[in-house]
Amino acid sequence: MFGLQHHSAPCFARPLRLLRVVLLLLLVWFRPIEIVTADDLAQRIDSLLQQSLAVAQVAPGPVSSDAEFCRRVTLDLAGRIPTVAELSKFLSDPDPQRRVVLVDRLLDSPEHSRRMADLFHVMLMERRGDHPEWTLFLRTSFAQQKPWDQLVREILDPQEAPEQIRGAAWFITRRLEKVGQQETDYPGLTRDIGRLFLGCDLQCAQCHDHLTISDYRQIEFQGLYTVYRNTSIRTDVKFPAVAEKPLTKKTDFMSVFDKQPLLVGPRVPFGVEQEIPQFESGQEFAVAPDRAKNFPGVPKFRGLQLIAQSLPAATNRRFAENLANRLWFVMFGSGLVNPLDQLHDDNPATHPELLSAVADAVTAAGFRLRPVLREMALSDAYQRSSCGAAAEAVLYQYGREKRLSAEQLLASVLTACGAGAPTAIADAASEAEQKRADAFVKAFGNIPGEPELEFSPSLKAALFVLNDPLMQEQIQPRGGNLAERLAISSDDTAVADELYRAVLSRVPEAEEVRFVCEYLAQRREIRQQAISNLIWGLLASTEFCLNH
Amino acid sequence: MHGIHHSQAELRALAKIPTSCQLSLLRYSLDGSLLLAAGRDGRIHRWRLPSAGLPVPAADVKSADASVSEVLPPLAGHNGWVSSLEISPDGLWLISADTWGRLACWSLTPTVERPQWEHAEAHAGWLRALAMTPDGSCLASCGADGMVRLWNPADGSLLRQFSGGGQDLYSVACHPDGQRLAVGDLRGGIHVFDLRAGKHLTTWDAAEFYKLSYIQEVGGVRWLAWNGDGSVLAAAGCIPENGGFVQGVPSLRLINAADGAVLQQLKLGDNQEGFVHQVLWHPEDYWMGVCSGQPGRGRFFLHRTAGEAPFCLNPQPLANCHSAALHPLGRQVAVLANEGTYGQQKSMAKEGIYPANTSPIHVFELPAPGPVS
Amino acid sequence: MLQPHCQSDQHQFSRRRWLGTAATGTAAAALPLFDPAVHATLLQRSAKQVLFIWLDGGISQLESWDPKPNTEFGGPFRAIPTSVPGIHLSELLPQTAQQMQHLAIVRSLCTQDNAHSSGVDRIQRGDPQDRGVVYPYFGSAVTKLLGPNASGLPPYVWIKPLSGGFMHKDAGFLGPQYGSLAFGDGKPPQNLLQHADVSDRFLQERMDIRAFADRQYARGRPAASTAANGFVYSMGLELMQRRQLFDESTFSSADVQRYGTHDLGRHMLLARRMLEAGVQFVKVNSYGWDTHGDNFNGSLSLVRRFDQPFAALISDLAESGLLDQVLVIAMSEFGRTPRVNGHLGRDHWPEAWSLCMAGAGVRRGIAVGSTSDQGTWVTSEPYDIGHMFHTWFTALGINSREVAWDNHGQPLPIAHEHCHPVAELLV
Repeated sequence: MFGLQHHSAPCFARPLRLLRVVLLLLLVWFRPIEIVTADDLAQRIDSLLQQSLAVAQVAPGPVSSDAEFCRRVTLDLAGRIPTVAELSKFLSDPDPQRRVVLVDRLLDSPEHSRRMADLFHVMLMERRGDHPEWTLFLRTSFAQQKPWDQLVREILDPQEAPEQIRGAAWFITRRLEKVGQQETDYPGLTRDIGRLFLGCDLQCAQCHDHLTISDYRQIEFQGLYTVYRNTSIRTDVKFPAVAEKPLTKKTDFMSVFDKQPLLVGPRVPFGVEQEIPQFESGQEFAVAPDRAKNFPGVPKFRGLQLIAQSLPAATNRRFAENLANRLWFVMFGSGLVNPLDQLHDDNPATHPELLSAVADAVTAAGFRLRPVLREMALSDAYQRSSCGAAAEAVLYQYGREKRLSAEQLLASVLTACGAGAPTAIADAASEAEQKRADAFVKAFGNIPGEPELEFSPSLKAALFVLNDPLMQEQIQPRGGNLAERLAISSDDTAVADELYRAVLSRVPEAEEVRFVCEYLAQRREIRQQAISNLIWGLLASTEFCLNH
Repeated sequence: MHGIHHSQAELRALAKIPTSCQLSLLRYSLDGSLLLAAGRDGRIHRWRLPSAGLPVPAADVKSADASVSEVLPPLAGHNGWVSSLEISPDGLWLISADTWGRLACWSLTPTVERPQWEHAEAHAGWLRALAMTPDGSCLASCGADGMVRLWNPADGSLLRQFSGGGQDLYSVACHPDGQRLAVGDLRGGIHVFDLRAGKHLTTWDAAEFYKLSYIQEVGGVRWLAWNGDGSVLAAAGCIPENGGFVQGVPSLRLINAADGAVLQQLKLGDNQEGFVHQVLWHPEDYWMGVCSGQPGRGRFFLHRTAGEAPFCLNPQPLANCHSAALHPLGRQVAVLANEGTYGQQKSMAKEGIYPANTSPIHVFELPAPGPVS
Repeated sequence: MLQPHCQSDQHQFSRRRWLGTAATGTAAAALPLFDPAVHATLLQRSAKQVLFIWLDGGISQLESWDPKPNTEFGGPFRAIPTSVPGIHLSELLPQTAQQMQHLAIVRSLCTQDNAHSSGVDRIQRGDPQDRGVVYPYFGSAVTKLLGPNASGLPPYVWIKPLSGGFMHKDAGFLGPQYGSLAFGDGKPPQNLLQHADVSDRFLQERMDIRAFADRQYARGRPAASTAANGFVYSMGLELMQRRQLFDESTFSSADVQRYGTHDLGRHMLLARRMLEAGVQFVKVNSYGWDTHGDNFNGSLSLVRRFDQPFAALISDLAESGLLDQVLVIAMSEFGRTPRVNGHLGRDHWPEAWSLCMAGAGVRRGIAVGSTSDQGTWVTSEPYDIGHMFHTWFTALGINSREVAWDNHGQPLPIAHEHCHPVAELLV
């Protein structure tokens, strides 16, 4: 009923992981034969999945049609459906490499950076609101193709300068804000650091039966918690900024196994505990606090700096695996480890070698996302059709339906119903545009703190599509938009064709053309409203609101 | 202490008389020899005191203890809470009322244990307030049933009755001229009637004494009092912020009797302070009043009409004052405050130990007449 | 088993991650109504409904269900006889007293928490043992356990003052889908009202086109996505087509007079209409009952304004026969102290308090449990909220000791395992 099955795994998974890292580093150093770089990731993906399908004794499903592929990859890499022109051009392109060309074109477009910024905003902030500085940080980071490890470093130890990156602090400060009369949620912040950057939901081990693992996990949590419980929101500046108190003592906690009190200092989970240097009183600060200005000072020994140096490192295998898993989820609709924040020994990947391969590639690419995404998009597995899948299909035998975010839905509605060109991306949204974006998030987004992983249709979203003026105005004819173009045309077959290309990004079936023609034929006097109804019906369909 | 300033006038604490239960109203007998209190145990409590007032101790002596007062047996016969007490102008009769609607008249001989006359259902439910005309010929009662009734105090016969405007009636005060009656209701309406004719003359609207908070009607004109010559009517209550807890600013409104103009709307605290429960006129040309609030603040104040703020305040913190009574000689005042275990701890209730709160009576000496700042 | 030094909210969050997100998906959704085979199955499902009236802040039991006139802490009010000989209520419930033959009062509640902020949650969640999960409120639990009925309406509606919308908090680990749809001040949530440009005919045509597109899409794919999506659109359409339900201008003036024009009166009348239309669980909130000061004048106002619509509603449900399938509960998070404090209020008192219930599966015309003469302690067997949950689930036909939540293979009790259904209350 709830959740997914966990299988117990042999306990040597952890040492194995370590070995892999060492091997990888050695291999990188000696430039050997069989290393998975970003360049051959696609091949590796396909050969490993081929093997697993063969073991399951099933054949892979068919390749996606060009229309399917065009829609899927445009949504994944540019955050919207293709325009009619883009689709038609792609469908009529004779170049056998057209898919590769499309992928490269999308990755190079400014829409791709924007899509990545939106994607990681939802992933990292989980609908806890917006902040212009944070938005700026994300957008410029992805526009610059900043590698993931650097991005994470900037989040874990936010700096005041340069101005463009200071908004990274909002990741922490938002989570430090008090809710009503509750205490500051340091445990929540600690947990999210673990979940989002290491793929590990570090909890005290109530959730596990295995007592050894339970102890193990407690210290992972507590060592990280030691750092974050010293943080607070700076009140002396207007932009998001984090203050740290000097870290002087370890955290004490108790093992449930033997009820022995334990101490731990600052520690990256699964890493090494750091000694806390002792300073003489008055010597703890590198920059002294200034009470008059409310400036908290900068301690010499900073937990945030420590975490930022050690956590997002190439040597930290879990860091690479987490990114690998999450990118895989974005492209393939299912994590190699599920749930995405439960990478641990009790919960192995569905395809462990594949996870390793992707993690290798991610590391080899220096944590740049584009080469990895490119390879994933070019794999046969990614290009498999989702059509024909039965409920009992084997994983990756067919393509998979994926949830579309509120941002993708809005961009797709605008693209489908608009005048034909992709909507321009402005740096700063107008007030009306911001209102529209907020309305879509409110209707289609999850509640704060709930990751958006699965397609969960809601009554709220249905009512929005049914009645909200924002949707209605999209389907009223105006300014050369879809509704106007279709209403003007008198050729019903052509109308059906453009309608399906615009909204569902494909050519209609014969049955569908018939349906549209019959519908319109009976409504000549109210043609314009009939057109609007047709557009609405397709916008509201499941096919439109999923990535399939 | 928003709204109240200390000044040079002084109140001197004379005694603190303990009580056995919570009390709601205090009255002195006309000769000052009896102090009467309406009990929330359904009984009328009585103390015999020196008629001239309590002795004033030397300046350096702490307040006298309560041994100067003699506790008399309480008068029984009421139900629920005794809600109101009135004394006839000739000092011979005590009229009492309760929250079940009973009205009773007692001779003020200390040994009397039974009422002279009574009505079990003088009002349907809570009989809230009583007022007697200065000539003692007519007693007015009002209650939660929205009715005003006029009685002959001699035999308890009903002279007249009329609707007080359709709301729960909290207070009633008879004009010194004996002709007019002011009645205050839940919604801040102050209705003036011609007593003899039973005719409605005018209504003054003190709407700030009322608020609808969710489904609760909060507030009410809790007390009315005329000044000595009837030129000013004082209305006491609170300006509610919300119900439930009841947060509100205790407030006193002084109204020009001639035209209903508001002479002053005094705020006696912040919104934690609750209600002004009672206000009295002192012949030396000032008002005395009591307020209570949450969780435990209370005030006894003295105020002149048109003064910026009360010119005198209780010297020590009092908890939740509910009533004050002026000694007939005008030099001493008795104030009811709350005392006791407060709040919701279980206090060994299961073992049968669950003490109630009480309402000790604080007797003060009023400042001497003469110029005060 | 609690871990020292661990905050319990850490566990809650982790659990919800593990269990909640999957549960919000298609697996928990029902099938669309237009499928005849499914429709038949739905008809067999439970027709039981619940009306849950929440008097937030703590109604004083001494000024309502368990009066103690002329006692030390009894307060100023009288007790009145009811339509059931031997049972008396406060004089502040005159109309409810006339409906006593339909009611069951419990006077022996004794619960753990005397704070609002935690108490409200604990009571509405049944105060379960700490299992590291956030238990659902009673409404979410009932709608999950009973499954959808045939009405096509949202299963859990919350009528309350102030704001409305989609309220997820109630659902706990069941996932946001089991939250409530709140009608703020009785008004429907945003986007419920049909857009002015869209006629009924076009609305239907649009839905038909949508359904056609979904049939096309579903060919050659698992039905889960289109089924889930279709379900919410059907429900949306159903709500829109039933909008007279909550259009106050369609309420009869006789009803409006009987229930009262104040907030709680209007909301209770709306609740009745929702129940008549088949909404499975209706919660009505009334705020402002926390009478720490001026409790008696406060109760005069508050209790009377509960009495009027409550009595009207019980009478209406009884007359129409709906009372046989609707379980009615009226309660707060605790009662109020016998001791009267210095500003004439009563404080919180979970040690001995009362609630009122009626309807499906519940015995009628009884008062269960007793308190001491002064109302300070329960003298019969004390009942915690867990006992009530057991009793209510049983009244709804759910075996509260055998049915359990499936927490990843580990069963979780739906009501506190140290409590039991109260036989006296059940038919």
